[in-house]
Amino acid sequence: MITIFTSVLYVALAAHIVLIFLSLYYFWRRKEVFERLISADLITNYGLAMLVILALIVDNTLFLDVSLGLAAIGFIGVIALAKYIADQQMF
Amino acid sequence: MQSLFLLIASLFILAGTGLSIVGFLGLKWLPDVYSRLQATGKVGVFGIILLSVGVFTVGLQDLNWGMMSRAAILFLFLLVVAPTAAHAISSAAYRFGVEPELGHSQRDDLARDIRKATEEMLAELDKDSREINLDDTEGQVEKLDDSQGRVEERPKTP
Repeated sequence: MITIFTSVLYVALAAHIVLIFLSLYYFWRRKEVFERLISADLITNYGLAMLVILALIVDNTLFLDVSLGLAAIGFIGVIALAKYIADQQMF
Repeated sequence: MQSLFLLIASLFILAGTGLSIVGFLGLKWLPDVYSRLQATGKVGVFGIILLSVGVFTVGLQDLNWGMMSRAAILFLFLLVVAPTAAHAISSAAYRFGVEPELGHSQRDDLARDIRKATEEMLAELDKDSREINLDDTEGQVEKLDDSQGRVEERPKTP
């Protein structure tokens, strides 16, 4: 059972790495600013998922702490960028 | 018993990976900024949410309280944060002037609401200014009868 579980973990990790590179391609390809913002948000989410899977593979809960910090920073960054692009000012 | 928990966790992890793949396909195929946001802000995020449920199940297997609490905090945080970020992006895109591809649905409810709110605000301002200098505008106000029985006052056009 443990071998099946670890193989599932490695498959999920590989899928998320491939998805990061595919959405990076669309981040580079599409020219409108909000499409790029959407792609950046999706890349942040995939990195978060990668960290969560790595926490299971390495069996270390430190990766979950790092993923919490990354989620907070990504959220604040997305909201600040959206407000800056729409209103041309930060605050 | 332990293998049952691992089986449930691997099912959650596979479902989360599938939702991540569906979110990417939505980013790739959908035609519009707003509909792409629909795919990435809900489906792509629910990938991580299901992954954190899987981590919670793995922690439940040998009662690893640190892992369980961190997974629960990540779950609740993402459940609150992800729709907020999607809403912020879509409202900023609307204010920036990104046109939605309407297609078969030929209505824009937000534009109608904004127009109605602006008209109400202008009517309020108009009423206030009329109350302030009532003597000046006397005789320049004509009464228009609305079709619904409301009597609406508008300044007479020269």
